[in-house]
Amino acid sequence: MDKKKISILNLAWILILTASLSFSGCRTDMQEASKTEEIFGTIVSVKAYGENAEEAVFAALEKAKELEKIFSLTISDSEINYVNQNAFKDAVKVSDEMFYLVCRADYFSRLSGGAFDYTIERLIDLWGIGNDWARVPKISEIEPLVGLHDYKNIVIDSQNHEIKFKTDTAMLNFGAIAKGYIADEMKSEILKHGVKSALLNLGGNVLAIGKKPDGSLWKIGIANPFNPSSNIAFVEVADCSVVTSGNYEKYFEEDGVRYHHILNPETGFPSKSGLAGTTVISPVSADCDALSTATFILGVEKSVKLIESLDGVEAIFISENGDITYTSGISKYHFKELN
Amino acid sequence: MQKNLMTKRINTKHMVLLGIYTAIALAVFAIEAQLPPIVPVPGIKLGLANITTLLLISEYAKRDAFVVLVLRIVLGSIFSGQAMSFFYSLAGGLLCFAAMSVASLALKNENLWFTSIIGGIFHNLGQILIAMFVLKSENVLFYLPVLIAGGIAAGLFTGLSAQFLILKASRIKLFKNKNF
Amino acid sequence: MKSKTPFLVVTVLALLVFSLLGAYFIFSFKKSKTIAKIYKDKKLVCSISLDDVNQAYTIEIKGENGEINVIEVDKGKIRMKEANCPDGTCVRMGWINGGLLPVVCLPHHVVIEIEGEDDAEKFDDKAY
Repeated sequence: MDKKKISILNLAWILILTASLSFSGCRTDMQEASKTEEIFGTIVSVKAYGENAEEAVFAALEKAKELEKIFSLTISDSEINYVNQNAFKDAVKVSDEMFYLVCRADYFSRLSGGAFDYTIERLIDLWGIGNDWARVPKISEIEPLVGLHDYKNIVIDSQNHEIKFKTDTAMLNFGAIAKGYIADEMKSEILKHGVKSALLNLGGNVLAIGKKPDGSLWKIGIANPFNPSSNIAFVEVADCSVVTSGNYEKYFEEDGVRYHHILNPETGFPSKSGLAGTTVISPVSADCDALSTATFILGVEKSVKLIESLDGVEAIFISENGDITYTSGISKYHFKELN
Repeated sequence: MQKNLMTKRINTKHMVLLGIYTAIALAVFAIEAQLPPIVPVPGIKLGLANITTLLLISEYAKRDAFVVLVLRIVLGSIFSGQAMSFFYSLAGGLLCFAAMSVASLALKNENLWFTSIIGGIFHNLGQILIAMFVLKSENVLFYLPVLIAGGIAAGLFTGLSAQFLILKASRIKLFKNKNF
Repeated sequence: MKSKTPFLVVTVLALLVFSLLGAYFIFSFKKSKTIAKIYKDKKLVCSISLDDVNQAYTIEIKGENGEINVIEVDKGKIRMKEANCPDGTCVRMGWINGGLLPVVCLPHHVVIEIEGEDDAEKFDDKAY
């Protein structure tokens, strides 16, 4: 009787010991947190490794939601909607985030000679691509909104953080840069939490933070524009963003013609530069985002020149006939084509 | 019976009967929705409400069966509050109804269990087609054999249930006075 | 008139045998490499190389109307751990590990598929 009791007690002890051992074993392992949410109309996923990973992921997503309230055109009381409605009448005082992004967008608009233009919201809204009411507008509707170069008609008062539109055709749309900017802001939120290894993906915009937990580079596939579910090439990066623009992302069809979502401000129609997809790699995701759109519209020749003139930016261009062109420094990202 | 189908006149008794059958179908549907699924495969269930459809097809008229089916699906989706399940139910229900109509016509209302099996299979086919469309995933098609087997099992069960019901009910002359 | 019943019974049995054989084949199929792809509303959320997972972790996918799906990833297998969908069939399906059948959450439009090969390479993420 007594013997039995003792052996049961022993067994219990052994169980408790092994359990606690295995628990402590778990704790020394690498922490990993990952979360996916729909923000800003796209799927945002965050993966973080190491201490505080959980908190960092949460904070990054909160940051993204905060910025969504500023830059989303679909949220009726967003700051951007307020600016669009009032900045033609009076100068509008804007938040620091809005002011910063207007300045960055202004820089890229001028740099690309208006291929990237953050003031063509009325044209974008007219087409409605990505919404269920997308349609081909009448020429008479497009005509007044073409070739305006309205980015030159935005008065930016850097002393008072105020913005004013000089023309009533100008309306802001950060669709080609906001996702990148949000990724950058999420990155600083993650770094604040002391996390050194993380990976962000905002609807196809990739931002790698640090290296992989095992010290190797992040291996990022690049979608094949002709079959987006497969990859056409890959790069290996650390602390870098990889952003792709392509004619396959959002589009609608009318009378058998496919209309994609990247509008050329000069023609008012979906860009026909001969490119099917462009990928831009640089440490700053907002830059990648803006430049991938700009280069998609500019076409290969002008784009190679533009990207080569910038420090720390590389790009890959895939034309409609399947040719792949890339800039001179791409090898530092271990660019490799797949078959 | 074919005459019933032809007369366009709707009288009160007819309407009341359709209402009662819709209520029965809804109740059966609601009760089944509360039961845990038998097999953990999306789309597989007994489909007890199909007993009502079978009963109406064989003992009344196809048109009546159709009315009760559509009413049951619309009301059932409203009560369960899921917009998406409406499309699945409708696609499955309509395809099932069409297949059963043809089968019962070919079999002259005999072998109700077979009609029901055909219905079960086509019901699942309809659901898989909608799922393919909604999810844009061809891999969903791999469910087809499982869903056909499931459709056969469920169809056999509901078909035999309906046959049994009709047999018992004819003894108490439930359907005797069906000339509205 | 001759009874049709025997003919019908044989038809049904044949159909049943064929579908069960098909189901058996599908259930017993095993892919060599296991890359899980998670889709929400037809969009690829992430792809995971299941063989490289060392420690189990979960991925939470939130939809617009408070839809939540929690997917658990472990070495060589993946499952829907929790979901607040009305039927819960996706959770009941349990682990999948390289077969042909995807885990499907019909109400939330979530699909977990296993793909054999992903361009013969393993990637951490994808720019599109």
